[in-house]
Amino acid sequence: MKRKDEFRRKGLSRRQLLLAGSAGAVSLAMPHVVSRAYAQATAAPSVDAAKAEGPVVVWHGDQEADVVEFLKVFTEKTGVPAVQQRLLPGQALPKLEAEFRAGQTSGDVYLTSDAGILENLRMQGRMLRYIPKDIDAYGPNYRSSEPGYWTTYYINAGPMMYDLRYVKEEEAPKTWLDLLDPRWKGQIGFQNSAAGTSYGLWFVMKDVLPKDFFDNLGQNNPRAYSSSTQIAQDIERGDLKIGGRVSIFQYTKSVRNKQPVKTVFPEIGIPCVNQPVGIFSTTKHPNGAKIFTEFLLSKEGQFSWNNIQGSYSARPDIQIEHLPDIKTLKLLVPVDFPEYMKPERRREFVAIWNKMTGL
Amino acid sequence: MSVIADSSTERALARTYSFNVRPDVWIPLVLLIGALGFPLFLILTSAFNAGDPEAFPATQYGLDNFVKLSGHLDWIKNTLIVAGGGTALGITIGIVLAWIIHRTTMPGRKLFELLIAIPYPLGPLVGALAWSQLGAPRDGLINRFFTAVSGIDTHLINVYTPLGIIFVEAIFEAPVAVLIIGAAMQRMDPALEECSSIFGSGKLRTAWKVTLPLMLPAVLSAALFMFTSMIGSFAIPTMLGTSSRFYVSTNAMYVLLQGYPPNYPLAAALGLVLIAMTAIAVWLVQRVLRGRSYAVISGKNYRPRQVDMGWVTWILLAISLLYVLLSLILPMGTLILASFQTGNQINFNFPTWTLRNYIYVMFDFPTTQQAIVNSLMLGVGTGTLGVIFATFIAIATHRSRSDGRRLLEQVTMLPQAFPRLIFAVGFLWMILALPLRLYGTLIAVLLAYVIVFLPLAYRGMSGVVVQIDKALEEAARISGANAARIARTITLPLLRPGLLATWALLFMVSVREISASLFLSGPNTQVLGPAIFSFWDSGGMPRVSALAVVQAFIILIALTVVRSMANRSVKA
Repeated sequence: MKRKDEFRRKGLSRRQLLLAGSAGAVSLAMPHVVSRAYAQATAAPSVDAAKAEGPVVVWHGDQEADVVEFLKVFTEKTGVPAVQQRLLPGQALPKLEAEFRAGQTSGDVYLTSDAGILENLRMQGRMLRYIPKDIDAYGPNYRSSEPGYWTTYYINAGPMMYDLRYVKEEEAPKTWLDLLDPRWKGQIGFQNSAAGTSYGLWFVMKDVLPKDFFDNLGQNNPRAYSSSTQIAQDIERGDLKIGGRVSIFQYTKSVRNKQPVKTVFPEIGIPCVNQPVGIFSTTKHPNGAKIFTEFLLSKEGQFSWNNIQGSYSARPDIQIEHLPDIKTLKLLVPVDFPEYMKPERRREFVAIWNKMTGL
Repeated sequence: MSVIADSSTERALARTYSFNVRPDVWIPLVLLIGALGFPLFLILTSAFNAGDPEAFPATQYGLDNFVKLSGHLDWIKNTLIVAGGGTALGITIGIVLAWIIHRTTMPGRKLFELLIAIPYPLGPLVGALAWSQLGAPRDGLINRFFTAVSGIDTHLINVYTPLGIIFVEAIFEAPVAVLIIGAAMQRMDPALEECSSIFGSGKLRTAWKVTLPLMLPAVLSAALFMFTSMIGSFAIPTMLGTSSRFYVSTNAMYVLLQGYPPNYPLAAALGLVLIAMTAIAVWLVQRVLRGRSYAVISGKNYRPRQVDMGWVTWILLAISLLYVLLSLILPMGTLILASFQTGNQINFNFPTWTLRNYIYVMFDFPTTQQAIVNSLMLGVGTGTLGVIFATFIAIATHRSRSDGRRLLEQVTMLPQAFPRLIFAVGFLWMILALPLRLYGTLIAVLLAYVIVFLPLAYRGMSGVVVQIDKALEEAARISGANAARIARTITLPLLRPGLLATWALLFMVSVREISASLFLSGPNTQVLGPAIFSFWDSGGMPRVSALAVVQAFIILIALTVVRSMANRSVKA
């Protein structure tokens, strides 16, 4: 009341005047600032500059051979050289943290199985915004809320998998609860707690399965693998009966190799994670990184990548042979993003998962 | 009288409280303390970090991580089971084979000496990879063969068990025991055994009652080396144990470091426990050996009598053949077979076999090309730098009159107590904290290799330096030769066989290295160990087998070249 009186008596104070002036200036400049940021985020990279910058360094958690094959296609199409390093999220993040601390980063582009990680990095100002030309081909669920920080380069669906040579179809599990059957004791495989897909599985299934499901599953001594390739390999060799969650591209690869494998899609749904791509803000090869992202998310790049790997594209205009129609599947995707990103939720998962897999 | 007594007391006191530390001792000492102390300090601070596990440096300190570790005593128990069991089996193999090769008249001893040495440089990664295809419960070649022959649909062996892990560890570390115990056996004074025979003891009783006790220092030295290696062993437990829920300290530590969020503090606390376990083992061995005579392995050149074991010779030959079969022929044969396949299962349908996997890993896959080149460069670099550094240290510890020699020796041997996985993490933190731009360079990997393999290099060079009689150099000096000429014409020629052997050993162990490289190699510094590990993780069995065969081929070529050079050097 006193303040109001003072205002009436003295008019605007210097501070109020400055604030009002700044607000006015910001509001006048905002469209320009926004459009400038947008213009920067959409500015076309230069191929010549990319070549001069040197090879783009791609960090990823995918199968190394697939990424190498794709990089070959990328370099052939664009002329921009690229190298890769396979780092699962658990390996990549500590390395990245250490590199940010030291002010030296070695990666340019990051392909990961954990969109939460890229979203966290975006919030810390560690992701570069670049809006590729084809961004509209990706639905809102498949890209960062402010487009250009990260976009889904494939959808990693995770059904159960088994080999008909070692498990009869009628005996195979049909539901998630079937995994609790003691007949599968020591014969179910999952990826370990370092895999983003394992976190995705736990995150979406914990609310649709009984609360004690993972504790009870632990009684069946499930085995932890560091990659879905190893799970698929042991299934084909008969050393593992059931892949509890196997990345669907392993199924495509097995079918291509004429292996008698089957997938199980329980009615309740299958866990699924978006595999996003983003550019680090500290990239030493900004032109090359943008050209790589542009190509990977283009129709040609998406077909090339998903065909090499055998996975689902987030673009509806891409279909890959041998994969069941994605529209027929009930995919359980992490939707509560703020919750998904919480460190305490991840710690809870790591503790549960490690206990379940005997670590 | 009292004046004389006082002055001698003063001199004694002056000797006690004055240090005569010369540059040949303090320079390497300071360098080593810095290179080891800083990573150790970082590991220590992380282990006692009781606050945010990702905070660096820690903001809160406490014993929380050690308390948490008490809930995972199975990791430590399993580590002791594997290291203890593996050492016991490996030493048994080592004693038997060393005795067969060096103390009996078994035919083909020279050939077996060479064949038995090969599995060590091939390394645990190759061993684990091959045995996962030989001894897998369902699809392993041995079990398939057993089922085909017997008609019984069950497995004969399962390598994915603690016993399987102990077995693979033992057969791939046993060559070191053969080398260390064999060297002692070759220099043993035969008079003691002859006495035993004169007093009526049989050959086996003499071997048990006389030869073996005389070998105790060498046996314990080999056991200590194997035990410390197995405590820090990474590839075999990870490849054979993890998927069967068997965790030792290293594969547990790897998951802790790999997981997101990573649990650095718990991994560092576990690393400290491993370092303490190794230190206790070293202390125990020193305590057992204290006061014992090493006369049987001195510089004197005895030629022990070789025993004709009669018909038992054929049993000894069978034992030697069995070892070579299990550690070399079957593993390499399996990897070669797997490398020709198109799928994960080994088939014997020859027309479907392919060389495509070799073309892929050698020509189409840039990572492996880079890894091969980098590993070769690092092998040469580690061999050269390691030999130079170790030679200087060995000369300083054995020839210098400086104080601090014993401390220098102890600090040089310290990396043996560090599991390489945890050392690499500390070393990575150190190079990131230093103002030098070492991160992501081959120089960083090279420095780490030189440090972790320094005990091995020192052990090799120390044995050579101690055998060279100083009188030769002194004679040259009296004859008017300067230091450079003495080094060129006396010291270096005498050191050459040892230099070559140590260089070759360092080259081979660095080419096969994996656990330190996992954390230090980057996109432009790929090396073979992590490349094979990554291929095992995500590339499928045929390709990883092809790459392992290529690595083995490189190591065998190096072994052959150096052996022929060493032979020529000895003849010259």
